[in-house]
Amino acid sequence: MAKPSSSAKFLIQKFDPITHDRKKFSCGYGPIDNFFKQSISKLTKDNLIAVWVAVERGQATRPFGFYSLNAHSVVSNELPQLMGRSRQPSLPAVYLGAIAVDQTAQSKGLGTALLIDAIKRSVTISQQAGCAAIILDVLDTGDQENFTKRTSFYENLGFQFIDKTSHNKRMFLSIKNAEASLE
Amino acid sequence: MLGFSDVTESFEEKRTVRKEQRVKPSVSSAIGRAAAAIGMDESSFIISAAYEKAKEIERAQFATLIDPELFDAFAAAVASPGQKIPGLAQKAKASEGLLEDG
Repeated sequence: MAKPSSSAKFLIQKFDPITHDRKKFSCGYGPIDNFFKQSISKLTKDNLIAVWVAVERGQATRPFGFYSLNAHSVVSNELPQLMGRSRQPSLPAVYLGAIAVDQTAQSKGLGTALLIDAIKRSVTISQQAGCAAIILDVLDTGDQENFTKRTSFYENLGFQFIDKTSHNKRMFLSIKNAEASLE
Repeated sequence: MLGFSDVTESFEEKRTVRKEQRVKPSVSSAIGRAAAAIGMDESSFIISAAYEKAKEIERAQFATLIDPELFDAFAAAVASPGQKIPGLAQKAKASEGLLEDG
């Protein structure tokens, strides 16, 4: 999804459990490290998620960042008999399940570059298979200040909370807005 | 009485897998009190609560289930003509050249 510039520091590749050695990866948050090191092999093998990793040019076996995507639906919980005939019962989306950068590569813009790549990839998925939005959950590690920072970061990119009134941390970006912004 | 049933009870399987955890005393007390309050044995309470949470997490990864009013607002937002988001456009520009397909 990233444009070839032939001089980029990092390359984006589809995760391959044989090629990509995750042993040294540490983003500083245990559950995400565990997810990356222990969960994704089975989930990708079963085609439940797709994972993309950023490797340094010339060092293609060590991932310095990654993100995961999976197919998702936004569904109205209205009973079918009450649903108006004109209403679509659900809308397809792409779910950005996790995104993280190794501590040694943080504060260099790689996280943002990965997120932009994930958004561009979601636009391509929409063009090929149809989807209306990108969905994510803002990571809440219990630190309110960091949570607020993360939320502001996503809001600046056009993400909105699906439910502003609840404690739900789920946000979305419409594919149409993504397309208009990345032209 | 508050209602809570063991959702795994109806599964036609025997309990053959053993799972053991050490818990903090205060956590154990809270679990015990809650199970007692609804007349359930602790083991069934823990298994059922953990199973329901597991299903909730699995569901949430693949679907967002929302009330009709929220769904209508979501549907309207994603159907609206695309608008350029300055923050997104700027971050995309700034990220150019850092990452490429490889």
